[in-house]
Amino acid sequence: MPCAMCRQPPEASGAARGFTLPLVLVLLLIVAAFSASALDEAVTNRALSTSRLAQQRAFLAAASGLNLAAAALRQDAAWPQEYPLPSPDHVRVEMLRTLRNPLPPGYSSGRFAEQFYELHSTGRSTRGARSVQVQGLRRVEPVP
Amino acid sequence: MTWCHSALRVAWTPLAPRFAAAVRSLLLCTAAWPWPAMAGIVDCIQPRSVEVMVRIGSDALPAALLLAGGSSPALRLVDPHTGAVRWSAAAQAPASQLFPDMQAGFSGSLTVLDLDGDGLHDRIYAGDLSGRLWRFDIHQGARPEALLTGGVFAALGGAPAVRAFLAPPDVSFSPVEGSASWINIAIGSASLSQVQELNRFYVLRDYRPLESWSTDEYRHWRPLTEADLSWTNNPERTAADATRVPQAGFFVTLEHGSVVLPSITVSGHTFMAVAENFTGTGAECSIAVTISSLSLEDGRLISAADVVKGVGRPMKLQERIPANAIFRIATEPGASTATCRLGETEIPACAVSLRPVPLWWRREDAD
Repeated sequence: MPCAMCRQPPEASGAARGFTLPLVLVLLLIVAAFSASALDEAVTNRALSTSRLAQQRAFLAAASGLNLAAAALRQDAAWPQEYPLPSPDHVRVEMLRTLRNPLPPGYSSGRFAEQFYELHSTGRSTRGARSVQVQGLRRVEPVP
Repeated sequence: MTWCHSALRVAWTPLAPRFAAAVRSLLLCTAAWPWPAMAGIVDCIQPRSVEVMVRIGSDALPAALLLAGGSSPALRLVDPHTGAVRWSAAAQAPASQLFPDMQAGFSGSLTVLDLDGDGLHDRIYAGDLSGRLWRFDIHQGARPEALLTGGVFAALGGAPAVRAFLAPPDVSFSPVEGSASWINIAIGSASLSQVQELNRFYVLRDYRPLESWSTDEYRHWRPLTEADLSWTNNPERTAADATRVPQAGFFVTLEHGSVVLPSITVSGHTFMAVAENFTGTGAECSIAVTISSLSLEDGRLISAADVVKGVGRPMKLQERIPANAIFRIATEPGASTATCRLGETEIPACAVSLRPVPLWWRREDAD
């Protein structure tokens, strides 16, 4: 006599058979997709941050070049100037004399002149990062 | 005064003794004067000339000529290679141009300016032996008869003239930014006619610095006098006077000595050397010097020894210096300042900063 209270064996329920496994597989697939996306984003971000770091290094190299070149203006240095920086950064500065005012305000005419300069500083770092900065300067100089 | 004119016609030559004779002749005309006391300064006067880039005649090429002072003619342009006189100016003929007021000669108190930067000079400021400052405009390419227009810009020698200008005017543009610019003409006087006469150091303002004046404009110009100027070391000067902006310029009286050396202006401060105790003649002449400094803004005396402390104390040089000395600006490689010396003595407040001043910055690799 059949027992109404008894549990049926699994094979007895055809519709429910194999439900869990596909669900787990789908979930795994979703997790894998998210992981792949996250990995891709991490790789991209790493590349971006590396590039950004290189760009920042190039920017700072160019800024350093401007400071060093401004000091070198006093020393009759030969131009362009290249300055040693921690590897792999380097900087090259070119100097342009632009205007010369022979009548500088507040200084004797004929004894002094007001000289205007432009310094073009190109800083370089890894991954081809490059920064170009231009500084305008003026200086009162004795006329020889 | 006929004998005076004949005395003034002593031919000027570049030789110092002849020039001194010409100056003496001029001074004999002005007043009775104590010769022994004068002998030192007159014998010390060295005729100076300045190079002028000028084009005389529309077809001529620009040439570097020497502008020199004298008694008759009072001014001349000389070819430095041949010695030929290319142009001259005097009160009476013969001269290329006649200026009726040019009765006194010029000793070499001459400064030329190229105002437009074309390589040719446009302006002359010249102080004469009667204490008058002349302003001339050079008309490049004009014939000798019309090469200059000019006239007396300021009459400061007194009446009768007791002060002369021997040192060249020190010319600088106004240091004040953001307002109409003017030219400061700093010039000190020297006593030739009376020993006890107090000399002055003037800073005059030319408010039309770039304008070339016509003959009519010069004719209508009323020369500045001491009445137009602020006396900035006047002991009776009130606090209200001190705050007033000197419009036409200012002057200070000197306790002793004469100004015979060129002054220099650095960072809006003019440094003047007051000379006394003239000894020797010609190139051998030596002088004792005291250096003072003035602010171009208000005529305030500042310290020549240390501009930071701002105390208007003069600086007396320990050693005597030649009467033809100038303030020398020297730069050492790598130094951040250029030193300023008169003789062998360094003038600290006159040092010039060589540090470049940043004006603007831009980044060219950014979008």
